[in-house]
Amino acid sequence: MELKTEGYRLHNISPLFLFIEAVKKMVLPLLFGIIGTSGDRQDMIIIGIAAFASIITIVQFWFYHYWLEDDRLVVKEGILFKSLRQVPYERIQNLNIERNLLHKFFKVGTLQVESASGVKPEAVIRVVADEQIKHIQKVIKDKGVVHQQKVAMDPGSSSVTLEDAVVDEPKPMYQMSNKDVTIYGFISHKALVPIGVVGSVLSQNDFYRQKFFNLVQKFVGDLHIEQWGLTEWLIYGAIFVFVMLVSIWLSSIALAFLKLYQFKISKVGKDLYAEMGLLTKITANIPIKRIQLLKIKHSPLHRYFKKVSVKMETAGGVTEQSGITMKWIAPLVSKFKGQQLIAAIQPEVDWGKIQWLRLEARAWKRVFKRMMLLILIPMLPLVYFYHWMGLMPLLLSPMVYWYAKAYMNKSGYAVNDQIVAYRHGVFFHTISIVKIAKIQNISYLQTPFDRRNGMARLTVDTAGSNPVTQDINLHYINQDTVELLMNQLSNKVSRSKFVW
Amino acid sequence: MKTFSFKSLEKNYLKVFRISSVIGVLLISLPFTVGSSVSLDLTWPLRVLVYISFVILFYGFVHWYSVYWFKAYQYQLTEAGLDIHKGVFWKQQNMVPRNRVQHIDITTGPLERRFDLSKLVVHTAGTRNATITLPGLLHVDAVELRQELINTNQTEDTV
Repeated sequence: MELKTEGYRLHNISPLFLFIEAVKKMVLPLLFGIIGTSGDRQDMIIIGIAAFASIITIVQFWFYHYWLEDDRLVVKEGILFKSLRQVPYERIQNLNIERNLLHKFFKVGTLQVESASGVKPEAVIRVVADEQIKHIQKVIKDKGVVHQQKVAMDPGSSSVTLEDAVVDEPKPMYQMSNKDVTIYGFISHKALVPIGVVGSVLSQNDFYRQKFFNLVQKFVGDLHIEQWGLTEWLIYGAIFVFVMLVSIWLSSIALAFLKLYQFKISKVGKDLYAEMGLLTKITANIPIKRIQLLKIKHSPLHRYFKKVSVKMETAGGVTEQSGITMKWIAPLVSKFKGQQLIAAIQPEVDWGKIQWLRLEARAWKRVFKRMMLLILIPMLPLVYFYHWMGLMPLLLSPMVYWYAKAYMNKSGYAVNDQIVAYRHGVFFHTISIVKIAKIQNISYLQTPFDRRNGMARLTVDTAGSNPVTQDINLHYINQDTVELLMNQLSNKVSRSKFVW
Repeated sequence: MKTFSFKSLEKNYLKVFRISSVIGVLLISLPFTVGSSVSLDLTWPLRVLVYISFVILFYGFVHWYSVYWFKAYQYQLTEAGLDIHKGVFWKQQNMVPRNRVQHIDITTGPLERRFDLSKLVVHTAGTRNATITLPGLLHVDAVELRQELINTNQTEDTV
């Protein structure tokens, strides 16, 4: 196929956004490092180099071209090391658009194209005009569909409805009210980690720690810490904890609003279309057939509000660091509505047919022993130093017993012709569901402990799965059952074709 | 569609495994020798003797272990796909369905080349277990197995 060499250029305002992005990625982390450390001259030199490098990045604007072929998106970039990237439309997993206040002011947006490969997005087009984005979206959508139909040799169904849907604002299948966003922010405690990081960095630095103490003393008067008795410590400690909690809650809610304000998700033809965000607005297009795994999660706080979170995993490992991510189906939704949503997204699965099976009941002893080990090992030095007083942690054993029993009760798995599902977690409960057709390979694992108890573990791997948390990980099941399951599953997977 | 039931790896791969483990044994014996020499205040000839005995001790363990390791390492090709069993203490079975194979590499190390052996690396679109390796195949067998897996793999979009 012959390729054009010239295509669309980026919007004229792009250098500004390229510069901002470079500054975000290079200079800010360094500045943060300096606050945390000494701020010597060599640090300033490094910052200077980083700033210079950020300015250089602007130059790439003149070397960035992209164009839309019949069946693929082509991106040409690079100054010294040129690259030409071709992404067939039907391989595009997600199409995400980001717009913050600055974008809105210039009527532009950042477009991110994701395929199933790698950690980095396939192409980030920073930035293009709004009309151009609409054009690209439409082309990718229409041509992707047309191409698929050609491949499937199925000219019967038409793509007319899809075209209309892109133009019209579809009726959302789920949207978040401000109250939902507030509750979600409260539940998530998202600000806990950033506040903790900032706090610990600042407390490492003598200068800032002193400054902080001075500020507090100016505000509430001299505290005379050296004269405090137990009651004062308790009172001030409680006040401190309370203030911290409230500020974590408030900032978590603020973060939730920034991210999820007016969250809306709708089903447009064969795609999911989502938008969200207060200052930075993100819109995402996810082909439903690209969804690899569905997850329903709830924590104790979720249960208090009688809500769950519904997430999905798509192929391709773009993380929050490497690009725009969209993993939500519904951040906060009632359990019933959540099930309805999933059923609406994947109507081909018979959700009523799922039968949950228990793990081996006798495995509670193994959970009990494992948890007790976690108590007994730290107890050893306690016993050494405090003698019989060090045995106090043993009082926790009834709790551990309860936990082990609860672990068995809350866990379960389900396998049928369409899906594999696993649920687990006493406090933080997760239900993960994978369609058989999305399974890539199947593993069986048996540790020496498993063997002693005649048990084994079954895991399946999918394209979008998180490498850290293994979502489908059927543990504490009889060896024979696992072997049987493995045979059944591999036969089912090898027979399952991709007809959508 | 070709199938075969459980096969062991090539006998020569046991040799390759043992030879390549020697380097590890030589390295691991070092800290043990230094530790015991310092704590027992040994003279040089004794130190060398201690080193050699540690090497023999550890190699003996590896030699003994490798017998069971080799026995446990088996693979079969079913209609569903490639099934690999391995592990002595931690037992593991990996199953790659035929139609989920993305691509297959064959690699050969310098030591393996001497014995005309190759390693089959099967890639799937998964994340955690995306690549599954099967070492210790005769080069011709590896090529044949690759061809078989690729031939029966329907040209479909598996993601």
